[in-house]
Amino acid sequence: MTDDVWIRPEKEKLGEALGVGSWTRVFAYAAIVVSAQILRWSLFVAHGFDLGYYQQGMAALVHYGPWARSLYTGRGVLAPNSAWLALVLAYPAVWLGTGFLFLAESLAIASGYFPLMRLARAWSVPADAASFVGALYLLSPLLIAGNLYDFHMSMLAVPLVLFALAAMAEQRFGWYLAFMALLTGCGSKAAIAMLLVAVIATFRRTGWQWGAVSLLGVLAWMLLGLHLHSGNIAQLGWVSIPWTQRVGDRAIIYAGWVLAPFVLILGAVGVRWRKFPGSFYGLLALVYLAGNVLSTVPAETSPFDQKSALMVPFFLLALLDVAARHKAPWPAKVRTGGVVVMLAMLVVMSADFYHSAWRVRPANGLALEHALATVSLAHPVYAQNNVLPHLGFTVNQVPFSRLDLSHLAPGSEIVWDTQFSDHTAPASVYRAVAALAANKSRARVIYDQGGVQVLKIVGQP
Amino acid sequence: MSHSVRVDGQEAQAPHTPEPQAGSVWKARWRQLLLGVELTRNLAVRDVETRYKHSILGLYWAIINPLVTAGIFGFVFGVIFHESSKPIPYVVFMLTGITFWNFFANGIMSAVGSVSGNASLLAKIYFPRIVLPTAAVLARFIDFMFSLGVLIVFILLYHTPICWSTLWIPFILVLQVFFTLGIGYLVAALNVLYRDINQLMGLLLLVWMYFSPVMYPITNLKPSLRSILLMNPIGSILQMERDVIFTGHLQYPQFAWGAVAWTAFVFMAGISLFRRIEPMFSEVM
Repeated sequence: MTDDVWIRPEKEKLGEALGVGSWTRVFAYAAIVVSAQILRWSLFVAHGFDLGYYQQGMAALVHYGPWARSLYTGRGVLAPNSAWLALVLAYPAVWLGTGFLFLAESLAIASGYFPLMRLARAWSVPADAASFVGALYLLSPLLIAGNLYDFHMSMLAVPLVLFALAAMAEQRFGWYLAFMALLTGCGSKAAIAMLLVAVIATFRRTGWQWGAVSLLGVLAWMLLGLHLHSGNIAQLGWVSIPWTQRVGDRAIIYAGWVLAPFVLILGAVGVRWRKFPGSFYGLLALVYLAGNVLSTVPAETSPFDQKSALMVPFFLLALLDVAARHKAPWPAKVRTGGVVVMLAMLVVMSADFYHSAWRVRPANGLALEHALATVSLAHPVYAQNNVLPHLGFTVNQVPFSRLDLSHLAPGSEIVWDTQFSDHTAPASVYRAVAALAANKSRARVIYDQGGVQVLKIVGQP
Repeated sequence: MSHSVRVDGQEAQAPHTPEPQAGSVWKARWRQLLLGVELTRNLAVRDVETRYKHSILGLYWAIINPLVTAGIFGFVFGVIFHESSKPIPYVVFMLTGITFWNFFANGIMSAVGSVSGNASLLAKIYFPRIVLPTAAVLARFIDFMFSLGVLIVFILLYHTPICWSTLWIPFILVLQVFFTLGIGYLVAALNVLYRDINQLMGLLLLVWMYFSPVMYPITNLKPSLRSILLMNPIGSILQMERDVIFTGHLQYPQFAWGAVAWTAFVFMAGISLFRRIEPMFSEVM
């Protein structure tokens, strides 16, 4: 009986890398990360300046078009980082809600697994090494951290970088340019990654002309689109440390965290092959990392910031490149060790999540929910960093930091969680709100429970 | 490209066959899919027929089961523990939960033994094995349609107002069917290797039911506890079903997206694992 003898040829196995198994891994990533994102949001620990900013901005883009103003910054929504893809995402997001935004971000990032596998196929990387690198992508703590902390347009650049490089490797130059054009929509934080993609494309043997064109295009975009010049180069958040200043301990620990898994994997492979496996892509990734380390902006040396996630594709390209050039199979111990290291880093990250989300969740969550149910959203609603993401896609959400008593219009509402304060609003704002709550001719308290007050402005200053 | 060709229980490697045209491959796949759908439908109908054929009450069992369960839980939680689900009458509230939950739980319990219980059929002819758990789940969907009739009667009896958004129920049910199928594929395949799965699932479903908002409302729970309960995809699906019927809108829409992601993952993981274990079926059985 040969009924259940199932011999699968190698070619079919390679095809599987883009089949059901891949989709399972991609959806596994999306399900886990989306759940963590939703948990953060539901515990009132999501940040207004990460998520609320985009909710208000996207609602404004839908209502007032591309020139809409952000109530967070007072400038155009697209002005601070030119992330024009927000305009495309705004319509479904405003209709389908915050959960959709989370899922769209996570699925988009997870989909970077596919171009990575396509690159592996184009470079004839052995199947075991390819799926190992794919696993490292989906388990990357830098990627998951960038994805987990609410929402950022620049995170969408991670898969686009990989899609662009896969298109280049497959000599689909039209697609390559299309992905590069889409990358410009992810904002200024994606600029360095774009530049590196264009450099990689320019140094190719075939189709380098397309790379050169894209390199010129990226430089033009940086100069004309981002208005980059020597005076404001710091907006890229890259190499802004004065030459006289020493690199701090924080930056060194950060570099160690970023490099650890890759150094361990390449080191182990190097010992086995008795030759350190260098790679052009690894060099580019190190240049990117060095730029972050040499930055004065604290976020640039944070493993939870999105710019750290943007380095991941380049480090993984280095691994693929090494695997492609040394056709020898990767030792199983190295692969297992690499996955274990990533998992250990994720455990450390989970501990951070526990301390930064679960342990600090407000005890008055139910009161906050009831308070939010009383808010009308027809007029501006002022709220703190923890409450802003719960106002949803409304053009009227305004952060506490923009609260100005002399300009508070009648009908405006203030949601004040008296048990919360953070650095995003100065102490003077809290004093002003407390004075307002006591001034019955100016404001009426329409909700007051569990340390949460909702004030409605009824009179002129 | 090399294919393994299976005809009437025979498998032959055909490495020398010429490369098929893309169009003809898709046509063949489409024909296979239609055959699979037809077979699934026939097996599901046969499952329902044989289940009730020699019983005195026949299909009435599909109605009696949820009624008795609802009666017991209604007495315990509604009368003894005074569980409140205002403004929805508690009996209606709980019967809604039980009806949708039973489809999920019964679907899984039917799928568990669907492959291992059909060893003789597997030995006789070749057909895509995944049809068996699919048919088992769909057979319970037929039962579920009868239970839904009971729920509608109770809603009318208690004059419980329902919303127009009830029309979304079919879409949420699609999600629930896919989630149930995903788990069904996983347990059906694993049960061939380890027969403990049958016992384990019975126990697991009991625990799972109490951790899902089947018998209690979650609206007034602390957000942290409620979030944990809604992270459970079937909990979120049940809440969505109740919300669209009685509330008119989703109270926790963010968690609905989580349920979508988990459903997609579980469904793909189910297919993936089933395919992986499938070649071992004949060895084990």
